[in-house]
Amino acid sequence: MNAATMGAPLRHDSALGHVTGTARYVDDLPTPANSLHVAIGGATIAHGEVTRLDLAAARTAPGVVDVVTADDVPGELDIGAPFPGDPLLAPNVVEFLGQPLFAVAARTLRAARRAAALATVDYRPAKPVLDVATALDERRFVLPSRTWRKGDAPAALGAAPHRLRSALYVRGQEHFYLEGQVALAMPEEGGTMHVQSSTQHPAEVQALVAKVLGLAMHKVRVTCRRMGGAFGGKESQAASAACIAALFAWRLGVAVKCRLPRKDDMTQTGKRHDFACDYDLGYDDDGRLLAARIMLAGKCGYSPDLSEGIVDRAMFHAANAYYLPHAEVTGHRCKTHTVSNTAFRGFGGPQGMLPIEAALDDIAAQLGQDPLDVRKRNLYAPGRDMAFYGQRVTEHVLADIIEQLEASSDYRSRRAEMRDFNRESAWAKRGIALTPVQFGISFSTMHLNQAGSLVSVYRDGSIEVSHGGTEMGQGLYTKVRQVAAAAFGVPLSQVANTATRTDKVPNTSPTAASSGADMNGMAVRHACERIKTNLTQFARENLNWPPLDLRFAAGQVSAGPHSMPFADFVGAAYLARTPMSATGFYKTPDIHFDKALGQGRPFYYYAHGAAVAEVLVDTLTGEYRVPRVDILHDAGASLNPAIDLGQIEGGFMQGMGWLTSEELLWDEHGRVISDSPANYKIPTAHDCPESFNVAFYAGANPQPTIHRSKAVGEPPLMLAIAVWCALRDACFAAGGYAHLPALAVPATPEAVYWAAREAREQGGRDAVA
Amino acid sequence: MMRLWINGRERHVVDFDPNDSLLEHIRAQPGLTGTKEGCASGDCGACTVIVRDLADPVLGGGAGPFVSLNSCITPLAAMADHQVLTVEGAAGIGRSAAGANRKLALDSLHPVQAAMVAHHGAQCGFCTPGFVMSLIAHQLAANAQLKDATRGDFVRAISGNLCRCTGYRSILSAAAAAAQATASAYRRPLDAVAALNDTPPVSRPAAAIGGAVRFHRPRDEAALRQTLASAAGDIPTFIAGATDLWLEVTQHCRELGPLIDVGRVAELRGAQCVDGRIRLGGAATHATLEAFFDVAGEHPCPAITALLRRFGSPQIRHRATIGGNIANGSPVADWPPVLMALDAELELANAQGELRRLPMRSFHVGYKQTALQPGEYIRAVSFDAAIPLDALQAFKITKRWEDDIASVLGAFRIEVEDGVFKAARVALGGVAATPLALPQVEAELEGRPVGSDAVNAAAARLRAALSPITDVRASREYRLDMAERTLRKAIHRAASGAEQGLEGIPA
Repeated sequence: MNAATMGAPLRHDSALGHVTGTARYVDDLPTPANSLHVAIGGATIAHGEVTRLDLAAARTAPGVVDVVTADDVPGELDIGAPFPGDPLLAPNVVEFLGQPLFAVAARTLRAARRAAALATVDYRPAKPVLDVATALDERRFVLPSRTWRKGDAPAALGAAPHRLRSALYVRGQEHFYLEGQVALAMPEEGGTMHVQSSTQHPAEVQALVAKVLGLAMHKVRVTCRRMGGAFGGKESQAASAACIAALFAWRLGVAVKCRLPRKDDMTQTGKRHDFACDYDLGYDDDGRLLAARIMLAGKCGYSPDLSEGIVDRAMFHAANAYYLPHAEVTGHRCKTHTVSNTAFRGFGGPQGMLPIEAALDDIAAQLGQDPLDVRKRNLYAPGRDMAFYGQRVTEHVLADIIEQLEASSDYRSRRAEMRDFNRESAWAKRGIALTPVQFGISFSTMHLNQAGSLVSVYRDGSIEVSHGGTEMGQGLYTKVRQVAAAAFGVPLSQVANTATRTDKVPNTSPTAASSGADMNGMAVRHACERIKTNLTQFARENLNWPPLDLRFAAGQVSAGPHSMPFADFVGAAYLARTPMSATGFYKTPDIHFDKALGQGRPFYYYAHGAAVAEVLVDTLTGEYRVPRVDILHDAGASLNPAIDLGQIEGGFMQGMGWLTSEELLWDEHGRVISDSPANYKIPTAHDCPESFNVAFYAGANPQPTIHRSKAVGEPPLMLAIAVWCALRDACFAAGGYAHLPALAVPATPEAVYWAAREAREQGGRDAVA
Repeated sequence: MMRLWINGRERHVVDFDPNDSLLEHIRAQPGLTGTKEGCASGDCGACTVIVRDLADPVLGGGAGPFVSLNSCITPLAAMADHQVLTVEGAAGIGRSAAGANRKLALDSLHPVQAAMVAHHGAQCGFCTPGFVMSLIAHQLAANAQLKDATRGDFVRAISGNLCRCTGYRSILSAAAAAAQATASAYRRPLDAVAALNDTPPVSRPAAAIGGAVRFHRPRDEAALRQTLASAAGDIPTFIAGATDLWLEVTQHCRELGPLIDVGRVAELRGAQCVDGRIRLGGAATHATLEAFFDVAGEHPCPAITALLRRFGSPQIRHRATIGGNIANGSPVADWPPVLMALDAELELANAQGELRRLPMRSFHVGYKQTALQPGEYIRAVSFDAAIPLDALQAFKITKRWEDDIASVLGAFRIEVEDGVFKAARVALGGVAATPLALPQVEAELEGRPVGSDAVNAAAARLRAALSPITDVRASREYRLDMAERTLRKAIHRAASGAEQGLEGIPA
């Protein structure tokens, strides 16, 4: 590997384009003059039968060219993946408020939207199920429930000296990618279709467009150059806009763009799942967990979408970094008449992880100990290393990470100071928490753990790289270019990463599960190695170089005493008829899992990290701020520390938003009422901790991943659990540390206010001054 | 026909719909898709551009300052005779015919853009153009003070820009680095585009533009009245900053009828002290008012300054007016409770030039209903200049500190003398169908000795008078508690000079 590029803090591939506005997103692409724009008409009730769908006024509205309903789909209507259940347009029964019923194509977006508002729809309403509790009561699930067991949890719970039985309702999260869902479909020659889609999963968009139009996959090409943010929200959810645009383009023979206005995006596309969690834990006098029975019920919405894996992952992470001698973990996939919830950074892991962290705080409070000590005692350790799902934890770095962070953040002395402050201060309270993250890396859906690439060396020495991974801002293209540049020993500028295209690399997996660089980096390296094998043969046979391995470094190719500039070398190789293009492939080794039994090795490895958050709360109003956060994160041997730092900081802040100001709410009719940035509040710069210290844990991945790096997309999001725990700690202080109150998720100022009040009332102090 | 300049290039817009936004127009120009639509509601800042009025009536038709705004909710027609700078223009792109495919080089970038690259301030990049423009606008406004700008200044400069990827730290680092640039470097694109505008702008009094739906742009009050008088029965909808009204177009696809933009009317835009009263023009922007009430100015009011810093965002404050905030009739608007606590009076006028004065406390008559008659506009709002402004207190309770709508806004003016409540003014937003003044609570306090008897009685009165609802922002119970809590905090501070709890969450 070449030290000049691998591991260097290089700027993002598109940095100059980003800051000058010249990086193009789908909505920025030049379109033919007769292109059309789409508006989607959604259901206005949560559940019922459509008795009349009158679109006459919409069809004759100014500028309208075409209107489609479910009846107009030539191929298959269902775009559900991996499970069926998501009609592109609802055929007759609607299952959530906002569900697409029809679509209008018009000369302008405004004309299409105005026309869509002219539809008349009558319903025979049915009673919707709108919450997890009702779905659990009525046993309404989109997929079967699962229970995974280790040992004998009921017996161990019965024998435990202490028990904690509690519940936590964890709310979901709106992705709020700045670029909404968008696709541009261009009909091409010979009945083929080219769709430019803002998607994490071009191969699936390709498959679904083909299905909807009744075409073979080779008739459909999907391209994604970049997304304006995705966070899981464009893994399955991008397909709908792409299929509708393609449907119109197919019918009309013109280019059609489908871009969801923000409110439609927030109403019609899935979000992070709410989870209702119940837990029953047994522990000893030191706070060591002896047994756990945990129930996790995800609010999946009306269809399965990706909920199988999401609830699985919530289950996997129900113990976070802690050893459970006995466990029984149950996951339910609740069906509700709400939008079908979907992937979101962490993929159920965050929701699964939060209850155990809350529980350890409860246990520490019960025992009168520092929660950090209780956490440390419960970490996996040699001899206490078998996860309840059958994977042996072999990399014990969290104890060291926590130790280092505890020291670098002055955790102990700050906690002591804080106690003094809180004793003196009547209403302003400070809180602190240190929480770890242990996040399993690999797709839990086994077949997705594969990646392909195509690398071409041109005879002028420039190199073009394609792979199945998509660029959503996470810097994947930059990292992959680093891999190829290092493999050939050329400057980064000599390597281009093409847009991700289904005709360059077929049958690819979504860019998800933090796997982008791990898998595509390896697939690209594989292709590079294959080309280098060809070049080695050329050197021996045509240049008569000695049979040594070629060295590719500093723009030179050399073997023994021989050396040539890379461009000259490949120019000569071309003339000697050497193949200089190769596909590459990678499949994650050593993983297997039996989902029914809950046994196996689902993860190739774990990524780790820990965070200390300090908060300052006005317990009279619940208003608070987060003045300081310290993070120590394990990115293995980072491929690009500048990019990984951005992932850690950004992931943390996104997690903090989820747990603090982002409150996803529905009304009693099933209408999402947090449906715009005016009433759904993601963090602003003001919320960024003034003292925000992020460091990398020094250590390479013991697994032979690309550059021995570790996946870094999702794990940092869960570091924000420290903020929630710190807020709860400050509320604890409001009652003189006598009663650790319940704290809602998200911990809005209102939620913090109620928690502090509960602490004061239960803790024995006056409720209101 | 209207004329504007984008990145220094003159554009004549002949055929357009008055419902078009500036953003739609910009993005339709060749090579100018850098300005993004993130929300079309002025909440995310991805569409931020910098503009200046080249024919500002207040400046006798001269060029005004460069300010940022949200182009998604700015009517295109309001930008006639304006200069517009986009993110491409900041990099010097688009001034020549070279186009967007020109090779980009770091050294041709604006210092903010270069710093954003160096500090890894962009990930997906979609929000980035907006951040760049907000930071450039801040540099231009800070000017000589830029080198002393603090982290808090940068935070406020980007408070109207949402980024979902970076977590902001890298953007704040970039802002700090760019603040060390020389004035000639950060002014370069502005100077470049400014130099191209030698032609005096076309600007007619009461110029109306647009097709069948007209967009009137009176430059003075006489022209405003004339337009109103000639409208007869078909009274145009008043707009000023349009920061709320334009959501009717972008979010609800409403086709707005004839519009009359009072945002340029010279007589309506100032803030001054006249005849013993502080008089704030109906079309005074929040940026104007921020300067007027600045703690370093002649009419320092810390409570208003603090509140204005959290009012929308810089982009919104450059456009939104106090008259719009009041006339909108919203029960959660920030100004009405504050003005009620100041015993402010509205000056309303109509086409005939008839004036009437109305106490702020009588203006709201129902949910989103006001005492404004058809064709009547808010000329000014005023209050007694003798009122000690430091006695005013305002508490805005929100889910998110910046750029959020109040769950509860409490505005109080409590004066204590010799242990007795000398004056008490209590007004609240977010606790009823209208902003609410509470004379019954004031009566419980005024003249009574400071002590828990009076305070408890006032708190009980207050709770009894409120009828808050539970909605997406807060529960009814929280709103009730916060109404009481802010009152108690205000009394505590007035009586003791000390804070109870934290004084909000300082930036």
